[in-house]
Amino acid sequence: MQNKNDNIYILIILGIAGTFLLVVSFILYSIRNQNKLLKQRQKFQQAEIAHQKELLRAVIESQEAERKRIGQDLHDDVGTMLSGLRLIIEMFKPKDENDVHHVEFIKSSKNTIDKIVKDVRNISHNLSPTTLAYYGLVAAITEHCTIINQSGKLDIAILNNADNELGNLDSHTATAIYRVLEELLNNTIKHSGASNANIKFFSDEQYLKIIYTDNGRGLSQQVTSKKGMGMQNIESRLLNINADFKLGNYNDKGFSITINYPVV
Amino acid sequence: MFNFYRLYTHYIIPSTALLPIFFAVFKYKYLPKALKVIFWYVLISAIINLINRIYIIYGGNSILIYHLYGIFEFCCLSLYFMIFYDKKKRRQLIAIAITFAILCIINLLFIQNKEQFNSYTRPIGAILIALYSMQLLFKQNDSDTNVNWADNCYNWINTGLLLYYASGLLMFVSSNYILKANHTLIHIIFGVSESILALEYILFAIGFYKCKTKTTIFTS
Repeated sequence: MQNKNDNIYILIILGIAGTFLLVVSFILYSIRNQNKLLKQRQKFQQAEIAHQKELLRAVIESQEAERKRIGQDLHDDVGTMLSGLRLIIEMFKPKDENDVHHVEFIKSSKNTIDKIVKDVRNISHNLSPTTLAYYGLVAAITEHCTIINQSGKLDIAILNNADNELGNLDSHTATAIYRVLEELLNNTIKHSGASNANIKFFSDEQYLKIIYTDNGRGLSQQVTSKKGMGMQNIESRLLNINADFKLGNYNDKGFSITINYPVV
Repeated sequence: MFNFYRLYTHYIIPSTALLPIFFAVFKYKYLPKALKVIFWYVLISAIINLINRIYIIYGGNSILIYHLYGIFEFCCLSLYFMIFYDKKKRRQLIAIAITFAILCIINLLFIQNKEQFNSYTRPIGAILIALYSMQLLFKQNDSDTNVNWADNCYNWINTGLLLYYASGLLMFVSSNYILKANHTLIHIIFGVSESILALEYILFAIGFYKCKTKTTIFTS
């Protein structure tokens, strides 16, 4: 009888151990299953992000191509026709060459045409900066800053300590960074009331760092949470080249942004 | 051997309850409602366990404590599970908890009196808690697919409950029967059961540790 009882107790222990193992197996299966689902989901999300990036890249590239075409058309067609018009006006000989009205008319027409030619050239350069394509990012930025500096509205200083990295950028990345800096300068001129701005290029082993600062009124925390078109453009262009950015300085302490572009 | 067993079951196992209590007290302010319920469940269980041991040391009959503890345990854990569900399901859980409590009282007064363990009602409670835990594990796995299994604090709590109540079921069923066995077997069976209890407390501690300051509870 005692032996029979002993057997039952051993069975109880085995039962407890068996149930324990079953529960552990169930939990391990559940863990495996959920982690598998999570991985699949992450993979899907990554694929979706990559697809969106690809779409964004296509949109930006087509936008750049369109800008280039419009810029070239403006430069070649409108610019040439205006030059032709100027020549026609200059060549025109009236009956009385000393007619004051006529001299005045020619002078003002030529001035207007010169101004239009200059504007068209600026617009065409803005749409498709030829300096960027021929001489690279630093030259294009320097040229753009020189034009702004000449206007006297803003004093921009450029410090370049990353010549090699900037020289090795492909045209797509260089255009993206150029557009971002152009947008930042535009924002500074339009909204900040700043008198000075600085653009610094640095590099370390992993990143090309671009630090843009101005001494304007800066951003408020509210503004950063509600992004405008310009900020969205900056974000999407940087996202497209896998660069990240960090905004600094809030509320009347000027504006600063640090852009990190992975060079490795 | 006996001294080690005594040290293990009388001191080491009960002191594992301090682990979840420590982590819960440390994070109490940030704990969501469900984890606060578990904290109070562990704390009160540990106090009842201590009272029970003192009773046993002084030769008292602690069977009544087991009967009352069975009701507290089920009601407290039902409250924990209720938090995760909508009104309709909550009502069902309340109804089950009340029915269970009535059954326990009937069992204590008329069927298994103060001389016997609650080996009829406690296994029913254990089965129900194991089922609730499994259901909640499935629910968490279905709804919280954006995080790793181990990062969800409720998974650890549910795992602890499922392991303890499913594994302890056989012991709860045979608790009156086991007492008739020789001392060595009693020690082995209770040792195994107590070890699973310690594991439950360790899993609770991990659950409290994993609890973030902001946790979302999904309701169906």
